[in-house]
Amino acid sequence: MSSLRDRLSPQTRCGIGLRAAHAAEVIATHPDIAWVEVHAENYMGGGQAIRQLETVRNDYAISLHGVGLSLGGTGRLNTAHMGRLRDLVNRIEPALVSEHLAWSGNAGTYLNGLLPLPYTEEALAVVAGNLAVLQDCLGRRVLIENPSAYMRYVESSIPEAEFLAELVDRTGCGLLCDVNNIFVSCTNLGGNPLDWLDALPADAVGEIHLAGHCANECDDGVLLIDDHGSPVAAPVWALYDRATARFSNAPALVEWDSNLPALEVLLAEAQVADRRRAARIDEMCHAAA
Amino acid sequence: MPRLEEIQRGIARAILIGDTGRAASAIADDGIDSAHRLQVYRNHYSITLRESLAATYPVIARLVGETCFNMLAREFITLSPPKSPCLFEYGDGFPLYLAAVAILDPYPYLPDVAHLEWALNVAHHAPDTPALAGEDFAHLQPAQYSDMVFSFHPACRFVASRFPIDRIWRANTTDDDVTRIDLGSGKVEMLIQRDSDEDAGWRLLEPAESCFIRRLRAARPLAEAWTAALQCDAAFDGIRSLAGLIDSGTLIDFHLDPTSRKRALS
Repeated sequence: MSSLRDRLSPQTRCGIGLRAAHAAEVIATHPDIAWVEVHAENYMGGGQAIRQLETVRNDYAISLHGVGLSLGGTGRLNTAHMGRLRDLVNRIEPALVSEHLAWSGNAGTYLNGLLPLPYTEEALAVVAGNLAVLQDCLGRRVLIENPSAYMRYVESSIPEAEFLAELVDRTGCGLLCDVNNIFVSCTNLGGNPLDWLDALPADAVGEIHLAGHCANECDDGVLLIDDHGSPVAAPVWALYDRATARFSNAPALVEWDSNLPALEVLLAEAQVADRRRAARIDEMCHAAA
Repeated sequence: MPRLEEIQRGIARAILIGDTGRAASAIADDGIDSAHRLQVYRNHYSITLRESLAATYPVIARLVGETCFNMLAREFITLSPPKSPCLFEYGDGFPLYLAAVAILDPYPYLPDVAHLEWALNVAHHAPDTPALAGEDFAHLQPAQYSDMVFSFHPACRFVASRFPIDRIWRANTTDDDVTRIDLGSGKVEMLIQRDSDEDAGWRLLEPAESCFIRRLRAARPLAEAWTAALQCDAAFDGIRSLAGLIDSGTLIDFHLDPTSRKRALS
C-alpha cells in the first residue's frame, strides 16, 4: 500500500492543519508531513508563536488560512487587519493563501464565526470587490473556501457553486474546495453533493479540505455541525475520491480543531487521504489503458 | 439601507443578544425552525469566546470555578464583543468587568489577578520589536542623559496590587499543595515582560525601582524618574536599574525631552 502512496508527487500529498498544541512536537520530532496549514490570525502577534512558525517553515511548506477578513461583510473592509495579513505573508512566504466565502461582522464588531451570505448579485459584488482589494494588497492569488452552512437565505438566487465560479471569473481567485463543508451544507439545506462538486470550475481549485463533523439533534430534525472534531466521515471520503479525480493537481489537507487528538492520529488520517488518492489515480490509469 | 447590510444587522443581533426577530424572516425554514438554525451560530460564538477567555484567564477560571466562570463569561461576551479577528487580543476589558460584578465583592483580589493574567497574555503575544542597544545612545553627551525619555517594549507591562497576587497566581498554576495565603501579607508591584526564551514572566519591584520605572513609563525624563526614586529610597541604585532594563530588552527607543532643553536654553 505504501508504495502506491509514494507514487504521489510531493505537491499532491495530503497535509495537516497545524495547531499550537502540536507545533513543539513537529519541531522536535520532524515527522513526515507533506505540508502544513495554519490559521493566519493566530500568528499576527510576536513572541513564541511566530518564532515557532518560522522554525516550522524551515522544513515544511506552509499555507496561511485566513479566518477573519470578512470578505462578505458590508461596510469597509478592515484594512488594518489586511495589512497584518500582508505582513505575515511577506514574513512567511507561504505556498498558499486562502480565505472564506463568508462574513464575520460589521460596524467594528467581530462575530468570531464564518457566517454564510445570501447568494445575490449584491453579495457577489461585495465579495468580488473586497477580494480584488485583498489580492492586489497581497500581490498574489487567494483561494476562497466554500463555507459550511446551517441556514439558507430566502433571497439566495444563485447556486453556491455558481457563485464561486463567478467570483473566479471576476477576480481571478482560486478555490479551496472543502468536501466536508459540501456534505454538511447539502445535508442541512438540501442538495446533491456530487452535483455541487461537479459544478465547480475544476481549473480554479487549488486545495481540498477534509474534516470531521457531528450531528446536532433538535425537536424538528438533525443539523450537521462542522466542528472539525472527529475522523472524516465515510460519505465525505466518497466525495473526496470524486474531488481528487476532478481536481487532480489540488493537494488535500486534514483539519482538526475541537477534541484535538495526538499528532499521529492526524498524520494517519492524512495517510488515508494519500492512499485513497493513489488508488484513485491507479484506477483511472487502468481504465485509460 | 442596502438589503445585505439589513440582513447582516439582523443576524448580528441574533448572535450577539439572541434576538432572532429581524433575522428569522430572511432565513428559509426548510423543516427546521430558523430560530434553531440561528442558535447554532450563537452557540458557536459564545462557546468559542468563552474558551478563549478561559485560555487567557486560567487562574480566574480556577478561582471562581467552572459554573461561575461560565456565567461571568456569558455576560461579558454579551457586553463586550470582540473588536479584532485575532482572539489573543480578546478580553482586555475582563478585569474591569470583574471589578464591577457585585457578587464578586467579597473577593476584591480577583480583578488584580485578572490584570496580571491580561498583562501576561499581552507579554506573550506583543509584536517583536528590536531592543535599545548601547550604540543607540553612544552619540549623546553625558549632559544629555538626564533628558532621555524612553519607550518601552510592547510586551512590557506594570501591574500593582494591594494583595499578594504573585503568590495567588503561582498557587493556582502549579499542582503543589496550596498553602494558605494571607491576603493582608503585603502589596506587590510587578514588571511583566518576555524573557530571553520568549516566555512571559515577571519580577517583583522594590518601592524605589517601582517609582523609577513608573515615571519612565509615563514618559518622564530620566533625571526626574531618578530623583523621585532617590526620594523614595536614598540607597536606590539607578545605574543598576537602568542597565537591567537595557539588558533585558525592555527599552526599545528614546528621545530627548524637548521641555528640558528649552529650560536649559532660557
